Amino acid sequence: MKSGKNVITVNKGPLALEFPSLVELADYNRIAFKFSGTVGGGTPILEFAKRCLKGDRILSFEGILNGTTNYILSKMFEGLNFSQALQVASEKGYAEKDPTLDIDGYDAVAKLVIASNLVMNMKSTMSDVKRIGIRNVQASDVTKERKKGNAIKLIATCDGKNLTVEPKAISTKDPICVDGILNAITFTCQHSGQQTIIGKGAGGMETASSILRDLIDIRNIIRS
Amino acid sequence: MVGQSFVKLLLSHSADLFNDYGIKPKVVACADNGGIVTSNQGLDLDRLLSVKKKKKSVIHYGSCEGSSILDVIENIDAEVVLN
Repeated sequence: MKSGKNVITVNKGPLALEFPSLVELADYNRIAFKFSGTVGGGTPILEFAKRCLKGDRILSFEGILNGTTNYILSKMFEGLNFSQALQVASEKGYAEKDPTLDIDGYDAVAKLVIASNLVMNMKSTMSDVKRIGIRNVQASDVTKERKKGNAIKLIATCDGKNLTVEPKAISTKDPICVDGILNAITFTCQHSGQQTIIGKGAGGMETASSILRDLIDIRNIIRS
Repeated sequence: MVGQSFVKLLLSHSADLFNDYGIKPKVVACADNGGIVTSNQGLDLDRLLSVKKKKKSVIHYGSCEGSSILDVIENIDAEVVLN
């Protein structure tokens, strides 16, 4: 940034820890700083909120921002317990060798921090988020909720003031109740109501497509 | 993995990128855990991918100048840095 180069990143860590400072540094150096692949992989969650909902006021948003935990919870919905579901996720390559960052909610927290800063203009960092992972979700709780027409999902929420990532029971008819490694997020707006965007939240080619979008944006900025 | 996918996208979409957006990207440097390779004329992306696949690091591409990654990012003539 200091050498005047525009920056595209798909690396969540720096933004989750220092979003306000990095954006300030980019503005100070008058460079474009793009990071659409950090939330939702190839699914344009941040651009949808920032561009398509232009002029409206986003009051809150909530969604599933981590594919690994969603896969595990989907398997638990089918009847497995947590350890069995984690085992299947590892075998399929959806869980890392050390799955802590996913199952304890840190990855979802990082994405929530980035989205809340960009979409809601909050000056938040990781420590502002109330976080509970899915390690203690019991198979019996999943079954109990299933009988009521609900599924337990790791839900990230932002109401403009409070930020939380925690397992919650949501109706299986709710559009954000997606299965497997999918991500889904619903934005609630003052005038246009609720919109949900669903897509793959990770993957090499998917995330690479977000870089290409950012590159095209930067080209347009340089031209104008 | 994302970096390699991006290079593959650049190769497979080069005609679309030029026709639809007027973009003809040139990759002048590429780094991984092994180090960094540079070329002001633009790296040969097919060769870059094949070197990475066969020899595990782009450093074997052959144009290594022994520079530190941070020095290259700071001093190379480029418009965009991707991390």
